[in-house]
Amino acid sequence: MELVLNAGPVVKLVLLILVYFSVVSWAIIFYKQLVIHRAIRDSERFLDFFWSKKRFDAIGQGLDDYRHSPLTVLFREVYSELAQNRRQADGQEADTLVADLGEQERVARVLRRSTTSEGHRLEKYLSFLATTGSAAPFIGLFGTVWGIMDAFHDIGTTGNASLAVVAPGISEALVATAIGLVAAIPAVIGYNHFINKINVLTGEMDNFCQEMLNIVQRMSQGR
Amino acid sequence: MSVAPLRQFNTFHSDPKFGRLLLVSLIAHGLIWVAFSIDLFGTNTRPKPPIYYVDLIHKPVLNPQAGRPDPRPAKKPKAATVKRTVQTAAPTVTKKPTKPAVKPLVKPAKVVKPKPVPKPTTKIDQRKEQKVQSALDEIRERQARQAERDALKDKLAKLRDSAGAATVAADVPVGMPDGTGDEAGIAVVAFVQAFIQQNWALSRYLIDQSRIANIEAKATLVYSAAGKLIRYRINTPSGNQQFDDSLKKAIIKSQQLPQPLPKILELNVTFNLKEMAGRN
Repeated sequence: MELVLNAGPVVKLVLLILVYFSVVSWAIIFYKQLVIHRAIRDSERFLDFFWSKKRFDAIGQGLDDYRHSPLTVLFREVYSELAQNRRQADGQEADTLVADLGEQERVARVLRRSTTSEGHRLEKYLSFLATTGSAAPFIGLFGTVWGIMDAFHDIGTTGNASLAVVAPGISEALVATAIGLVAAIPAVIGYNHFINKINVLTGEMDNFCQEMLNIVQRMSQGR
Repeated sequence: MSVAPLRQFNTFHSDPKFGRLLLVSLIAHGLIWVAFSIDLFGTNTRPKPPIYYVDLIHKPVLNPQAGRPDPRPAKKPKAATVKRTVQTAAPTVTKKPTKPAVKPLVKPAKVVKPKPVPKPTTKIDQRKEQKVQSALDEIRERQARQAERDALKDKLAKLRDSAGAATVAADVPVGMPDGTGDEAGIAVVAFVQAFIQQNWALSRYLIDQSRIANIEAKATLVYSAAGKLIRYRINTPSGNQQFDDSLKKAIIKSQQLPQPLPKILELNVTFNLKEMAGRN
């Protein structure tokens, strides 16, 4: 603590910035941990639920229990699109075949859009972790270089290069690098961890899209 | 599969509030700061781990001088004989001046006479005289060099004395030809004193005091054969409360010596602040 309190104003400012980075990084880590953990858990449960039912309306009624999964969003969007299509089709019986072919395309578009928006939702704030992981050590290094410059200046003014004069300044300066690393290391680890999990979820969403498209196609053909 | 009207989800994803988690993170950082401030992890008060120097040559023994002839008288005769042999060896090839019989006539004349002889009537030729003269010059030169070396040695000894107890080990003569191998070494008292001084933390105030006053305390320490401090008593306190307290702390820190002792020992050790400050 003394090292921090005795540091120069520039080093203190650097430390303050690094603390801000660290606080926000940890908040994001907690946040993403909750969001992604819930998303994975609900996705697994939703897929079981989805394949256990044979009617879309039955699935649609039970979506509330899996609200954290991105797959439920995809399903909901597709379901809404189909419902809207059915309402329009009731008034245009003559063009059923044309409408069905267009329906598949619309569902595909809806799925693409939903997948993208869910991907964005899952990746929200992760860029801050990446920034912290890459920038914090450099910011810390800047503080250290500044502190060492000060220490050398002190040596110059006192004319004494003994360890007692040099060492405190350098150790105070090195605190900045240490704090920079303390902020950066969890951020990098968290970023890699969450990106990995998000890739898994994105893969699941892609698979689910294909399944949904197949189902919609079968529905069109079976009509 | 049939399609029925879908229920509307106004808040479909109930993501956790980021602001709340930011607060949690802030509190966690604050707690870490507090923990460091009150030294919860003991980083500031944790005693420094002792540094053990294993001195295989200067093994601590009870009395390092025991079992050895007094070095001073032993040295002098040796030096004398060396000088003598130098003197005698220089002029001629005389190897054993003490040996009598075999060539009695030639040697005494060569060895002893050079000094008195040159002056008078004896018939030593010019060349011999020159030889003797050069030999004498050589001897004088050697003596001068020897004197110079002695002076340097004295100077070195004075410097060592002023450097304090740390040089005790270096001063102890080792490798005496008549030694048995286990008597040479640093005295236990000096060893214990040096060890305690290693663990002694001097404040700035005390370092300043060392320049002003001669502060000294005497303590009796009882160590077990395993090198563990059994009890201690400060017989003569210095009168300076800070010094006495720091001495007590240093003794307590040095409860365990880095190596065992020959037996249970009661040691009277003197701790001098000036010596300590000089070392630090």
